[in-house]
Amino acid sequence: MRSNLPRLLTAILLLSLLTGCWDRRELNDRLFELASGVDRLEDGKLLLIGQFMVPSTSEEGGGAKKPYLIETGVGKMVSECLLDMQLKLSRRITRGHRNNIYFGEDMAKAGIADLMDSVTRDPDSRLKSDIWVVKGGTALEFMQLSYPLESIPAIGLSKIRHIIGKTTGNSLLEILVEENVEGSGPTLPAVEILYDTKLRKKTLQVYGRAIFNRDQQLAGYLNRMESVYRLWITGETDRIPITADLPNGRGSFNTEVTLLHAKTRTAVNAGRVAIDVYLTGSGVILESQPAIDLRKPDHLREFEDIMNRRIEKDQTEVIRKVQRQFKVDVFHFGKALDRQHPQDWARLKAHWEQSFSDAEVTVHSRVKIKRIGLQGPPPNKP
Amino acid sequence: MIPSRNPVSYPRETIGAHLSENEAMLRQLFEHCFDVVFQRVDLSEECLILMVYVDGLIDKNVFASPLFQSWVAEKAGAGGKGAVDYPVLKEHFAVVRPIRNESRVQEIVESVLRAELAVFVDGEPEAILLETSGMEHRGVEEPANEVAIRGPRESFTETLQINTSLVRRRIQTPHLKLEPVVLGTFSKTRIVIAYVEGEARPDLIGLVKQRLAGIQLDVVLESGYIEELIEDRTFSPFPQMMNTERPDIVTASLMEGRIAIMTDGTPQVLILPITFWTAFQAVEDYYERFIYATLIRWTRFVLFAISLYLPSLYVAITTFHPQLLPTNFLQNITSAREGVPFPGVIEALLMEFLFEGLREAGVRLPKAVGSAVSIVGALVIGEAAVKAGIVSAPMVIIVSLTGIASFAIPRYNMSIPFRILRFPLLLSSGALGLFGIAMGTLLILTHMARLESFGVPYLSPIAPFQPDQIKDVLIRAPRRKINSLKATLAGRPRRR
Repeated sequence: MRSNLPRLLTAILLLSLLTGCWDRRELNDRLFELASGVDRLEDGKLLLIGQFMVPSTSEEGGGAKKPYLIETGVGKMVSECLLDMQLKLSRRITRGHRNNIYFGEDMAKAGIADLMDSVTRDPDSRLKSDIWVVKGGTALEFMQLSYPLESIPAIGLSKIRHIIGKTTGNSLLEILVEENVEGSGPTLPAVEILYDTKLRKKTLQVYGRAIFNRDQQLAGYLNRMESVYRLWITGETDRIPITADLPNGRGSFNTEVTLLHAKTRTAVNAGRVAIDVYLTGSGVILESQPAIDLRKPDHLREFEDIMNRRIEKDQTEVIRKVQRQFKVDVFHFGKALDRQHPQDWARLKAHWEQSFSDAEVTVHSRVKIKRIGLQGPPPNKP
Repeated sequence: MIPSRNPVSYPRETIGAHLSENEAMLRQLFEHCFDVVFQRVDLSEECLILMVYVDGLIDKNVFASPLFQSWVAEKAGAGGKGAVDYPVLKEHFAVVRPIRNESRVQEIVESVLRAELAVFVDGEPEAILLETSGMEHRGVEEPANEVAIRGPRESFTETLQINTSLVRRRIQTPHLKLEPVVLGTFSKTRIVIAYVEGEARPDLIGLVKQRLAGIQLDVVLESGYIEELIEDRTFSPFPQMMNTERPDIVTASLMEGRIAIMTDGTPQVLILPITFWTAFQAVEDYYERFIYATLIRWTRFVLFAISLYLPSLYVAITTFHPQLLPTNFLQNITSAREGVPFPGVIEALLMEFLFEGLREAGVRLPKAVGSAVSIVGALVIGEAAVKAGIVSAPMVIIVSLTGIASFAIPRYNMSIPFRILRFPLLLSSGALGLFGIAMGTLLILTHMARLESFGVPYLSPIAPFQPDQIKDVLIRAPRRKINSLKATLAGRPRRR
C-alpha cells in the first residue's frame, strides 16, 4: 500500500504530460464559428467568411445588438485565410459548432476538391456539417443576409433542412462517401437568395441540389422537384408531393406520397445497360379539383393511374436530364449494377459515365392512393 | 487485561472483616469523588452496616422497599441489641434485587462504579453487591436523522439495555445472540456483538471478535471509535461499516446474516459487512411496494451520478469539449459565462467550497440561526454573485443540483466519499477534460474493486458478478421473488 503511493503520483504526473490534454480554453476565450463560407476571388485567391456567435452579456446592455458577427480572411489556401481572419479576432476561432459551410457559385464551378481536404484534415473542423452551394450568388452575399426567426441565420438554414424531411449535418460525410463510390457523382444541397418583390425583402430559400462532376466541379442544379425525385430513388426522403392533371382540362389533384420505396433492377444487354426503377409508396389526396366522387373505386383507380403515369414521366425526365446534361450518376445506379452484375460492372466501371449516359432507363411507378380525405367530390361541385 | 496507562493501585487484594478498616480504604480510593456516597447505618453497637454507591447511578427505590424497611425497623426495635443476622440480611436483599458476594477490592470498586450498591457488614470479610442500576436515561424517541414516512418510529437511545431490548423484541428466538464485550480501560464501555446464529457466517463472527479483542482504547465514547479500529482499510474514503439509529434496520441486517455492534452510550449501531450498494437501499424500499421502491432506487442512482460527476462534467465540457453541447445551449452558456473573471475550474471549486462551507456552518448551528445562514447563503451566492458577475448562473445551478443530489443518498456516511471524491475529479477534469474524468473514475473503480468489508468484496454482487443475488441491488424485486434470494453471507435461502 505504502509503496504504491509514489507510483500512483508518478502516473498522475505523467498523465499531465500528454499532449492534447492542454487544449483547455475557457468559453470566454473562444469564438464559435457557426457557419463559414468560401468564395473565389477574381485573382484566384480564396475569401473565407466566418459567421461567429457573439455571446450577449446577460439581460442588460441593450437588446439591439446582433447576436452574430461576420469576419473575412483572404489567402491562397484555407489555412492562410484562417490566419488572416484570426488576426482580426480577439478570441480563438473554434469550429466545433460549424454546422453549415457555403460555397459561392464561382467557387463551386472552379472545383471544390481542394477545399474538401481542409475540411477533413483539420482536427478542429467537424464532419457533421452541411455544405451548401449558393446558387447564382456568392457565399459572402448569402451570409450577410439576416434571418429574423433565428438569432443566427446559419441555425435557420439547418432547421429548414430538418423540417423538409432531410437529415441535417450529413452532406459533408455524404460527399466524402460519394467520392469513393466509383462512377457516382457527388451532390450538395443548394440555396439561393430570393428577392421577394411583393414584400421587398431579401430572404433565403432552399433551391434543390447542386450536381458535381467527377472532377468536383459544379455541373448544374436540380430544382426542388427534381431533387426530391432523385432522393426517392436513393431512398433519402420520406415524402413527395405530386400534382397531376386530368386529361381534357378537367382539373388537377395533389397527392402527398409517403412510405416511399424504390428498387433498381439492372441488366446488361449487348454492352448496353438497361435500368428499371420501381417506385412504390402510398398516397394521400390533399387537394382535388375535378368534380369526381373519389369514393367510387373506378374513379380512384383512374386517379391512381394518372398519378403513376405522371410520376413515371417526371422521374424519367429527371433521369434523362442528368444523363444528358451532367453525365454523372447521382442515382447510385452504378452501385446497384455492381451488386447485381459484378462481372459486367468490372468491365463497365472504367467508363461508367458514358455507359450511364447511354443507359436505357425505364421507370415503373406503383403508388397506391390510401386516403382520399373526408369527402368524395369537392363540396361545391356535386 | 490490557495494561492501563494509569493503573489503579489497590492497597489490598481482598477486604478485611473490620468495617472501619474497609471504610477507610474505600474512602481513600474514592478520594475527591463527591458522588460516591458512604452511608453508615449503625443500628446497634454490634450491628454496623456500610452502604457504598454512586449517587445518581442507582435506583434509590431499594431503600424504600418494604422488606428493607421492616428489617431496619425490626433491628431498631430490638433495642440496639444483638449482632447482625447476616444470612437473614442477605435474604432480605436477595428478595429485592439479585445479589452476589464479593471479597476482592478491585471487583467491588468496579461494581460500585457500574451502578451497584455495595453493602458491608462489620465482621464479614465480604460485601453484598446489589444490581440496582436506575440511571437517568432518554426514552425511546423518533429517529432524528433517519426519517421514514412509512415504518416504525423508534430509534435507539444511549442506553445499551434499551437498545438490545428493541432488537430482542423484533427477533424472538434464542438464535439471536448478544455477546457482551467490555472495551476501554477507563470507560469500561459495554459493547454487544449481535448476530443471529445460523444466519451469520461463523468465520465472520470469529473475525469480528478477533478484531474487537485487538482494540486497545482508554475510552469508547461512540461507535466510531470502534469502527475506525476494526475496519479493513483505514486509508479509503469509503466506509466499510454502516451505522444506524433504527432498530428495524439492525433487525433486517441481522436476518441477512450481518453482524451488529452496539455500543453503550450512543444510539449509533454499527452494521457489518456492507457493500457499496447499501448506500442506495433505504428502509422504506422494503416498506413500500416494489415498483415505487425500484423507481426511487433508480432515482438515487441517477442523483448519485449527478452528485459525483456533474461539476466535473460541466467543467470538462465547457472548457475542453464545447462541441458536445447543442448550439443553442452553448449560446446560452457562453452568454451567461461572459464577463466571469475566473476559469471554469476555479469557479467550480470556489462554489463547491462555498457550498460545503454553508453546509458545515448550517449543521451545528442552533435552529434559529440556521435559517439565517441559508438565507444569506441563498441570497448572497445565488443572487448577488451572479448579478455582480463573479460567478455564472449555470454554475450556481450546477452546484445546487449537486448539493441536492448528494442529500438524496439515504445513508449519510455513504454520501461522504462522493463529496470528497468530487474535488479530485473536478481537478482532474479541469486539467485533462473528459479524459481526466475517465481516469479518475478508473482509479475510483480500481480502488472499490479492491476494497473489502470483512471479507465481502465491496462491489459484490455486481463485481464479482453473482446473478442470483442482484435482485436487491439494481432493483428491489417483489417480495415473492426476493424469497428465493440467497443470503450473501449465510448461503441459504432467505425469507423476508
